[in-house]
Amino acid sequence: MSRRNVDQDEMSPFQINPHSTMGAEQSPLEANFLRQLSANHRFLYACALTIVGNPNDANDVIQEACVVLWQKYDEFDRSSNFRKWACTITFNVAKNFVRRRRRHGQTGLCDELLARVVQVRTAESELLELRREVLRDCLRKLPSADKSFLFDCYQESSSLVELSRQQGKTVAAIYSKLKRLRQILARCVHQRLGSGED
Amino acid sequence: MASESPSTREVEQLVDLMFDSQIDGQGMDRLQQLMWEDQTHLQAYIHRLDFHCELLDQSDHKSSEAATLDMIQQITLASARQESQKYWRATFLLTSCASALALLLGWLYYSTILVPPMVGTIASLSTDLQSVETPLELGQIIRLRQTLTIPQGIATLQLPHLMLDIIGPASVRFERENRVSLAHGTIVAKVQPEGIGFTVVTPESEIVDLGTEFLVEHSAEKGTHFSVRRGAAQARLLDWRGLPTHVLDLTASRAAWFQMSTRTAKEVNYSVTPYRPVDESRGGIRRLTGALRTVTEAPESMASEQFTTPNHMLVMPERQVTLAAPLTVEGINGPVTIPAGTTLRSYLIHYDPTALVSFAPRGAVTFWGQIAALVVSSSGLTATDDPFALPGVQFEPRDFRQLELEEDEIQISDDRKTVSFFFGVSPPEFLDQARVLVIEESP
Repeated sequence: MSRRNVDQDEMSPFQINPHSTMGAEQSPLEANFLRQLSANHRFLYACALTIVGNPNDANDVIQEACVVLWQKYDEFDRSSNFRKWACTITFNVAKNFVRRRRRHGQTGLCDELLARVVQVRTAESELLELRREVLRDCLRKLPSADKSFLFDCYQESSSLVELSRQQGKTVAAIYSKLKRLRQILARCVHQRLGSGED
Repeated sequence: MASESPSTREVEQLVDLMFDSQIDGQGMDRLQQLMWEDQTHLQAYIHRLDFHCELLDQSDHKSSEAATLDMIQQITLASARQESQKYWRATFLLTSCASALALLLGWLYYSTILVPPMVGTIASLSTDLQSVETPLELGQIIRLRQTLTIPQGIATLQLPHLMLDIIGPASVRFERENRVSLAHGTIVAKVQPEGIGFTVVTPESEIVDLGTEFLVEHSAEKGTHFSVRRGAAQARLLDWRGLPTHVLDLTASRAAWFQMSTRTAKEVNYSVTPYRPVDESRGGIRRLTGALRTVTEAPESMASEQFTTPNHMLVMPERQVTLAAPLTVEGINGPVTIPAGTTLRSYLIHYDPTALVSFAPRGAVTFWGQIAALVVSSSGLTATDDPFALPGVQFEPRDFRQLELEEDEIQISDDRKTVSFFFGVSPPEFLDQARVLVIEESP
């Protein structure tokens, strides 16, 4: 059975009632798509970020990728791995995004390097998951004030300028503290992985 | 413990800059160079970005499902925005195309293919005429929807089956072949029977000719004054929507006054005074061509060098006389006797250039009536000054005002309605005059 008709060709899954809860007022197919997308959303985001390099562009890429995923969902073999399929599409969307960015005179890795990044990242997915677990441990050891500051910096809606205004500090001071905390966490991860390896 | 090389640290720093959107082209080049150099650098790049990704995930306390829903809502909004942009782009495109088409058609309309049709020509101009547009010329074509604004002087237009005198200051727009709008000023229409239905519109009234000579005068302060000299016309007071609220049928020697603000439409005393500028300027002249002009006010003296006309000849209506007895005058080809009872209108042709003028103007004047006699000799002119000259006008007492027929040319057309001139310019005296006696007949 063909899932789409002429009207649906122009539809994005996001014309599935976004105000409804997951699965409510949706066809089983739509609900299934959203369930799988939801389960892999963070992973796909990470794929996009690896290619484009900054969160704002990654958000744009993931939105565009989701539309493409829905449009191609009828081509997806249900017995195969959704994450792998979706990740491939997301990488392609992200690479196209970087190409467009370069054409507009902005910075971006070249195509050959991006291809290698995709290759290595795919090969290292388990290692990356391990590193994330370690990072989470390191975060737990971070003083709560520092952790709170760090999360404030990383929250999607926040900016360093806004933080500097809230905290009565200069942007440079905020950024300096952020770099220091990143360094602490990175060292922690290295130390933990080094201990494990030892 | 795994130690980091300086180059790996550099990769991480460059990735941090990229993540914070602070990397420049040089930094990106350096990052790519490092990633090409060593596989570990490429891994460091991936690890560092994933490190940031995990921190993003940890700072975002929403569940994966909630995050997905948020994203879906964002995409829905973005999708709606795109649709809206598409709509506006399409609208803009259509509007642009329509505007371009309209401009093209407008250009064609006003340039070559669709030039507005001609409604008439300029038949006569007074010497003191001024115009807002480019200088008006005799014979100039007036087109549909054209507006003539005349701050001063009188312009006479020949429209189909009617003569229209515009007395400045005035502004007239030619809406249709038989319909004009008077924004302000005075117009006099002499309509032939074929032209019945000619309409003059002012902001508060609409005057429809029923075969007549009528005058319409409008100003914003005084409203519209309308009078019928001959024949009949119908005047309608209009409301703000342009719909008639009062109708007045006027016959000869009657006048009316309209004002929209007070909703006034009433008959008032008739006077010939408003017609006088046209009578004095044009009289029974139907058309002027070439370097000829009329005057709106007769000069006190027409003697040599008293009223110089360096650029044109002048044709000045004089008195209208009904002969009580036969009149014999010295015509161009000998004595002419005009029978008693004939109504004659006299026109003086005057040309008095300065010594600086080297060219001799040509021109012609066409009258409604037939030319009874053309007087060109000094003695003939002097003999006809008394009965036909305007009161108080002084003439050259010496005898060089006459035309020198060996140098000056003057001809009467076969239908005896047009007289054409070519006046030479030769020292020492430049004054040339002639008097045309025309049997009175005007539409």
